[in-house]
Amino acid sequence: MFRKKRVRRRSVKGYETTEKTIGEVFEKAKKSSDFTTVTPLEKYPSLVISFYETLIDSKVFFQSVLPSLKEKASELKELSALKNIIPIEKIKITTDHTEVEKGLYDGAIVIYFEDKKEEYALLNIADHRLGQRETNDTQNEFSVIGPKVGFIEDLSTNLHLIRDHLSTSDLIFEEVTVGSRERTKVVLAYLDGVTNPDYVNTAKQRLKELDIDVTTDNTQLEQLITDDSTTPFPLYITTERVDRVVNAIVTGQVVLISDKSSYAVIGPATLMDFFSNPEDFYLPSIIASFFKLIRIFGMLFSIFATSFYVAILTFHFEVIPKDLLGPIIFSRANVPFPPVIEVLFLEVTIDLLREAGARLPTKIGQTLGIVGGIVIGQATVEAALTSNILLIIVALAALSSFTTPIYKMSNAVRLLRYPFILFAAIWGGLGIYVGLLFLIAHLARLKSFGAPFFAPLYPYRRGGVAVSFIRPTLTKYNKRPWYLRPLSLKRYSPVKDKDPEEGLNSE
Amino acid sequence: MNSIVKENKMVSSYFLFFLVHSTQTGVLFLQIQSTIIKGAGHDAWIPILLLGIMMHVLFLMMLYILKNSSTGDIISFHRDVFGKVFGGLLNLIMATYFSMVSLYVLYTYIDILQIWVFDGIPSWEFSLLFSVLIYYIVVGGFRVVTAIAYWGVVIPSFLLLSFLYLLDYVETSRLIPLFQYGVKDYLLSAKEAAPLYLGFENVLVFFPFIKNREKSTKWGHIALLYTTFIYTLVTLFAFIYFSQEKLEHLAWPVLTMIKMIQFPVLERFEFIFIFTWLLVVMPVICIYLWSAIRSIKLTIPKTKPTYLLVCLLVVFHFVNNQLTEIQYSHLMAKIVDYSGLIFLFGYVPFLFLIAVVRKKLKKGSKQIQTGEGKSQ
Repeated sequence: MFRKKRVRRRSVKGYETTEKTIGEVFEKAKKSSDFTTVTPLEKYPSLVISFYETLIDSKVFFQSVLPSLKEKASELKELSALKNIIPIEKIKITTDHTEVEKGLYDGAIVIYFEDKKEEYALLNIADHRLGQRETNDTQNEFSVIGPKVGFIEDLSTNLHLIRDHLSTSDLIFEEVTVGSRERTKVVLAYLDGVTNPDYVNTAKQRLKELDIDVTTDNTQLEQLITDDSTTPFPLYITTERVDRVVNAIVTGQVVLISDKSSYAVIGPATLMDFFSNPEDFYLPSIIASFFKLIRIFGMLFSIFATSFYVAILTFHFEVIPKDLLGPIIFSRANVPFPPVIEVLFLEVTIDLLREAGARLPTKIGQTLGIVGGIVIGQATVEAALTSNILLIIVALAALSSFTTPIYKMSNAVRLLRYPFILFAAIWGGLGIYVGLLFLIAHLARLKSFGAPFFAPLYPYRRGGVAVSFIRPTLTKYNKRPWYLRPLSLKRYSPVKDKDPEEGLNSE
Repeated sequence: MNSIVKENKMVSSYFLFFLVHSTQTGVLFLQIQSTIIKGAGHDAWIPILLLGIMMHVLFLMMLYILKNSSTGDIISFHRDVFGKVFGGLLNLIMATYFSMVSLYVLYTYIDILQIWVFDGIPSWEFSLLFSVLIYYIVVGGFRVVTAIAYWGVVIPSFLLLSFLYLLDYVETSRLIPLFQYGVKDYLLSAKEAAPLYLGFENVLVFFPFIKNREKSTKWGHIALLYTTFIYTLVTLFAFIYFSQEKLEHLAWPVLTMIKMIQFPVLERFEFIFIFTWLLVVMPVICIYLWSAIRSIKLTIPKTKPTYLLVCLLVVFHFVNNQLTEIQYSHLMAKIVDYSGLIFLFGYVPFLFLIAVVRKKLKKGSKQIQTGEGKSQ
């Protein structure tokens, strides 16, 4: 009882200092060196303008606000007259000090009379794009064909990209402010009349009740509102591709876009979504299906290949056919370690190379690839630390783990192999199956915005299983996935071709 | 049938198929073929088929019992009929039976592992590993148990394909002539084969967790049919693969059959088979254990299911670890078989009769009441 009360009081109080009066607001702001106060008019020294020069667009300020103010200064008796003087629409006159404070941080200039400190005019001339990159290619989710436009770290640009792509009145952007200190704007995008309102409400409720001071990226926000924060699996798709986001909105998913983040978060996601790529929709159906299967095979191979090696070489020699046994024994003859040490050595090496490659500048990274891939690999085999058959398997497994299109899922796949290797080292093939059961039991409890994560496979949903593994032709794939429970199922209805029976078709 | 289960814990109705089928297929399936031929010889597949059809009757009885209980499971039925104390006692006895079957299946699977794959690894290592796995599954609740049941049917289904490989080695003339034996022989085989079908008595406990209960019963029947089909098929296969004399001396006929299979990249397929069998065994263990815990939880208020689970697993571990001699194994098999048969063929019809009589009495009393009302 007592504890509950204490918690409640603290949450009301907040974690940062609050200013009581307008004087305190300015007093506090003046401590920062980028806070500027100017008196532009010699005739009326009482007219004061205050602003953070790091937040405003100085071009607008010096080229349109100041000149027009100086020109028509004689007409200025009241703050409300500012609207006639300054050629900018966004003028707001207020008496509330919290609004003034908020306006200052949003990039507004505050105009007031030194002798009349009740009214303040807020004039928003913020420069959101200052210091932001211009280029927005998709750098981390590459596709050979298809649009290459990606998001950047600016909310209004990102929203523009989506709205531009999907110009329909059904597309709704709902804004929620997150963070007690930073007040990041987060926008929920969904398609009205299609997306199940349960998802929207769940997402909104989680965002609104979230108590955090600062979020530095959307991916961090995703972890805060996730259904299960202890799983290695990403429960939401994070993407920087505009086409992927548009597709997700159209199929009835909710998209979260937040300010200062170039990644959009798509939910509810299902496991098999992570292995599809926007490019699948640009390639012919058969080719796309083939590559999707390759990706899924890659995921499975990457998880199980090395653990099978360990299990077979430690416990089940009998499984290997006689002809294959020769080369394996030959390659392992000089290796002094048990298979598990050998495998862990190489797997950790690959992960080291990968982590080093990810952190290094690109130019050094290339050298690293050569050093790691060729020198270390060749040398370990020659020094008889590992067998060269294992080297092939590990390299292939590493290669196939990179086929997963979503980076976060690719990481999860890479991590998963370690428990499997350990299980295989202790209990052989049985250990792998036990690991598989653990994995199934884990996947079955995961939820994404309250919807089952393992969805079209378990719980089984009709029509979802085939789509999880292949990409049907666009003329057949005209419905939204049923497991997302959209309000309207049909997306479009293809028309039969009306080619004339004779004419061009003659031979 | 009012239910006390919340909707976010329920599973769709088609899962009844997976739940029923996966609890029926266990370890016994791998060894039964050599024991049932003692009765009806090469005709012993007929009792299996007939028993399978009988199961539908028992299933209908169970559904009738469930329909006439206050919250749709046997736990409340016991309480309704026998009162709080005696009904509670019956629930606890039932829970003991459930946990014993669960333990027995685990015990036998560890036995198979030690005989066929790992002769060096002591039982406690397996037992510890499985205990952790079972804990993780059962603690997740009914939905996770259902997931295991689902995948425990889907993935091992591929093993059925392995019989195609063996088609080259069969001799169909071994089945002829049909109907050679007397009724007594068939009954003997049927008695041996009956424990095969144990498992779907769990329906009595988990049925409130199924959505659209009235419509879902068809999935139960389909599951029973499918089980019967697979049992008959594999038994037939064993009969045409081995000669009778050979079959008598085999402890694990199915595994011996599978041992034949070789692939260019895989020399001994039975390892894969035995390990995949873990997926068949695990649902049986988990569903029985879950049922046991639910029975205890609903009988004795304020018990924490998690503690209960841990206690049971400690007992399991102890038994698997200490009682490894073969006489314990035989004893356990006997206890489980007999108690299962009594439960299925004695107790369920008994409860069914009680349910029928109770309903009649209730109707009678209602009619009397309404009759009295009319006369007034």
